[in-house]
Amino acid sequence: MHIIYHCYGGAHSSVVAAAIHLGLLPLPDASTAAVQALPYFDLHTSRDLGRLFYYGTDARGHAVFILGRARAAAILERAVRAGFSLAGKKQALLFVDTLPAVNWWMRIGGFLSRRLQWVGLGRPLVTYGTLHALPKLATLVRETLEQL
Amino acid sequence: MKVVYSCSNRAYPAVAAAALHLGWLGSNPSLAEIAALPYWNPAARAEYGAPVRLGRDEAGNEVFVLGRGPAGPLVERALVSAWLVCGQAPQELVVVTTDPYLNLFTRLGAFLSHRPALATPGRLLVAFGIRRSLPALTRCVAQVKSRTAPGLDLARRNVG
Repeated sequence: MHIIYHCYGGAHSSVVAAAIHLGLLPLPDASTAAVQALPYFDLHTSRDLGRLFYYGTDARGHAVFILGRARAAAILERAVRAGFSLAGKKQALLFVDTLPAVNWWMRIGGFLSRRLQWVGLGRPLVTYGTLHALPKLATLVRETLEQL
Repeated sequence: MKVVYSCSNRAYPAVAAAALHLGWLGSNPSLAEIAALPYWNPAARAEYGAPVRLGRDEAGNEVFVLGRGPAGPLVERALVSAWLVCGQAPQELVVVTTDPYLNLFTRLGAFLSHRPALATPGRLLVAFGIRRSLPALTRCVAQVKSRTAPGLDLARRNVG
């Protein structure tokens, strides 16, 4: 199965959820540096929205992806499924929306860093918010793993 | 090879381009012929993002139409990136945006056709607008076909 963690910009909550899924983030005591060192964390721009990014393969062989889907989650889910279908792959896909775990620190920090490119201000804020959101994201990932 | 013609509503310009590609429209079609094309009416919201197969051209390429809805170019990116994740060659999927071929007549007709009392004149106005766009759409389709024709080497395809 392919697991696709998706959020608004594909830069924060989906990245952290994918990292938790793959065991790349030491929980429950992840540090600021550990979060900021995650691949793709606070990196994607608007030009990356809609693109699937491979993040890794878990111990059970499930490929994990991240996706920034703006406000069009349902449409992009259909488009991704259609892409697999056009390619002739009958691949089981599990879409996991990580946006419910996002808090206001992450929204404001993400907006400042990604939209306005005020990285110096936005990245610390979004990282602070991410550290606070880790329990929710860990729960989301645990529930996802239980579904597999 | 797969060819996907997209537009915002999976309707007028994408369907007309696909119909031209498949040879369903002559050089000077009537408004009624245009308005009678399959999938002529806009897709429902729940259909955005899912390509619909219209047929296979003489070279064996499958032709689809796709509604992007409010997601715009993100739909095409998602479709193409999923295609690439599957290990398919990028040149085997051609996605063509047909929104640039919308003109004022088509837009106004589409707007009017949502009003029950004006649906019929609206649909005719849409068809009229598309008929005016046909020369440009025909050139677009010819360009696509030159990229998808069998026997071309990869270098030629990349130039196209």
